[in-house]
Amino acid sequence: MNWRARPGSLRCALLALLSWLGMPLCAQSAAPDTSSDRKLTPDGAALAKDAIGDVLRRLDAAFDRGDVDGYLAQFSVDGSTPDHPGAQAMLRQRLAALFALGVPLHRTSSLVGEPVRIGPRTVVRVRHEIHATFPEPQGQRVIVEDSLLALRSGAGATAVPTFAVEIAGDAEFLVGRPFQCPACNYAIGGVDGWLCVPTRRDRAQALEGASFYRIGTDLACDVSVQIDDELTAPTIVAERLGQALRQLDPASKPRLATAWLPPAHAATPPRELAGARIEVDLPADAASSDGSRAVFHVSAFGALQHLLLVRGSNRALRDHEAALQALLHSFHLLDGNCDRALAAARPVEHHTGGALSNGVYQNEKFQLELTGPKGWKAQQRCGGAEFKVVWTSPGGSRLWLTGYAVPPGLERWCSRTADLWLGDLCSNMGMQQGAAAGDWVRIEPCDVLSRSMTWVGKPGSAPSTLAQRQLRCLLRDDLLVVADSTLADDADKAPMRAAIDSLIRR
Amino acid sequence: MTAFDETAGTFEGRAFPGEAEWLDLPVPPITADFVERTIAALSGEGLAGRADSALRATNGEDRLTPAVLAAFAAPAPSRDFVQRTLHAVQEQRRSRWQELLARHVAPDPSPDFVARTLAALARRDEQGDPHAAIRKHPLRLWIWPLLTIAAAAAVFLLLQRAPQPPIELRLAQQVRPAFAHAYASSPLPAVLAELDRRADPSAMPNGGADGIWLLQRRDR
Repeated sequence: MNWRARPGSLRCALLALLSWLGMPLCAQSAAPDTSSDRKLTPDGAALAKDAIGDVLRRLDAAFDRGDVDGYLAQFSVDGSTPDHPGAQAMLRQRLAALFALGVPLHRTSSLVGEPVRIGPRTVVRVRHEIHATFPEPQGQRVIVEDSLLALRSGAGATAVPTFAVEIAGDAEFLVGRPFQCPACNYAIGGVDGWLCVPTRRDRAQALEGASFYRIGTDLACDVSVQIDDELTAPTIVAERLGQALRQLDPASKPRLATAWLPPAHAATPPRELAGARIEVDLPADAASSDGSRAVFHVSAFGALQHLLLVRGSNRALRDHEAALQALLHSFHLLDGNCDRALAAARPVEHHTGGALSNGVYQNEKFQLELTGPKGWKAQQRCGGAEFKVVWTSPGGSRLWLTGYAVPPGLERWCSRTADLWLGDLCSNMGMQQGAAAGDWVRIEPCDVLSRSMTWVGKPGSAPSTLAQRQLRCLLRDDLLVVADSTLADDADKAPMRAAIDSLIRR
Repeated sequence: MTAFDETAGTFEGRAFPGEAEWLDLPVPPITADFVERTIAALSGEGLAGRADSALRATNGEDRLTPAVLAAFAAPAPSRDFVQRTLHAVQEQRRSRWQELLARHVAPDPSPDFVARTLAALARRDEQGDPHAAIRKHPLRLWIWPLLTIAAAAAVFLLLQRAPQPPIELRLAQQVRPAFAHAYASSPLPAVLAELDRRADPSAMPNGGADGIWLLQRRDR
């Protein structure tokens, strides 16, 4: 989006001038209200499917033309602004990536389920089937994406889209019901006016992720489930989150982390529960002239962490304080008395399918097994990969086992896409493929492809780059598994080799 | 035969052992008084004594006699040593500060500086200023206000910087587009990925791939 050409910026400047001259009330009353809706449908009535169908046809037509600006202009009919500028900016990013494919694209969008009325908006689930015509041998490909679309009524009986966000293909969006996961031991939501959108794990970088959007505003709250075996104090976690945000966006200003407990447990907190929060001031941007804010909330139950990130313009945070508090109040542990170790192990096993027992990693979901070297410390980590396990020797040698799910936009893995991904990882770690790289070999009884390779540090790469990594990869349609290692002690060489060779599909 | 044969690379006729072989070498014979001698050496006269002994051992005679050592002894400080040292230090600091300040502080004007300057200006007025007519030109009168307005306009335009994109996009732009979380609608995944990278910097990134990015690359 061209952030330079924003209609109304002169108006904002004039209002700021008025405010500076001592007329704050005048300025405030005239400020644009992103939270209000000028044309609401009667309470309780969702927009007609025909009107929504027209919107989808217009959006598909703009998509087929490769017209990003035309596509997004549909969200700003009558000079109104989209509900959520951040989501809108990311929609532009996604469209730009699709159009960068440089091949003819044709999109067909259809409604999935019935339109639902949430506050001032009608929300529908939409399935987009994108037909991409690649040169042979790739040929025709179909990319399927699901999104949630919020709409308001326009002139006459028309509908105007105000917000679109991707939703995980296998998840349902929730309205009026809490989002809960017994394995992860929490529930949140079911509060009026909030739309819950579950996120793909690789997009969320978490065991589980979801975003709550305050419909008709730019207010959102992201939920993320993490495991921290180091049992870091929540205040430290909050400080680190603030500092990491500042590192990525130097204009943001974290405040001090303070103790916090989920309001539902504040009166009688479970013994193992601790928490903290930190506010981060964000600078004024294209959508919020008086700045915005991000507030990280950390709720830790042993190693199990629930992170809640509240974000929005200062104005929306002020205006919708009560609704936000209601959402935060809805967050609670399902079982405050469960065993601490179980609380951490259960979500990992549930979402990744894997478990560690005496250094042996077994994954029932993908029928994989790797016997780690004896005496090494084993640990499961959570993030955007399907699963990740790390073994560390007393001498500092390390062995990682990482599973990558089928990337969004692809139907399955193949050796070509796996090589591209591995090559990108290798290159961005300052390494290059060694000379003795084998090719993919089919292991018949297991119906998987296997490949071993060595990565070596590029000449002139940073001193921190490791000199050499040994890799063994297994490839299935639904998973790419990479076992890679770095050697810090020659004595670890043989047990590490044996561990990598023990990787099998059961 | 010399102990070390450089050509053959042997010592007393034997090849020099490799690093790994050191531990397998036979233990050298230990004389009966080894322990006593070692303890006596350790409880000797300290560093000077050890150095002294070493010199005696090499030359067979005393070189560090008490007279020689006395020549290197520090003299006893005089009674006003502390006062003199402090005074010297303060003098040095004062001159250093003076030197530094002299670079930034103009000297005071002499008492008749103002009188001389006013007299010189009066003389110029009496003789007539050749540039006075130019200064009083009507165009000249307008130039400064116009320049002031132009400068104010330039400052205003400079302050009208392009507004920043939303935080979601700002953070997404910090993530390589190969990753699935580069297209997340929330800024949280980028923050979590950064924390993960810090926690395990030598590991491969703990993030999934983006299929559209792979398709782009595949097609090239």
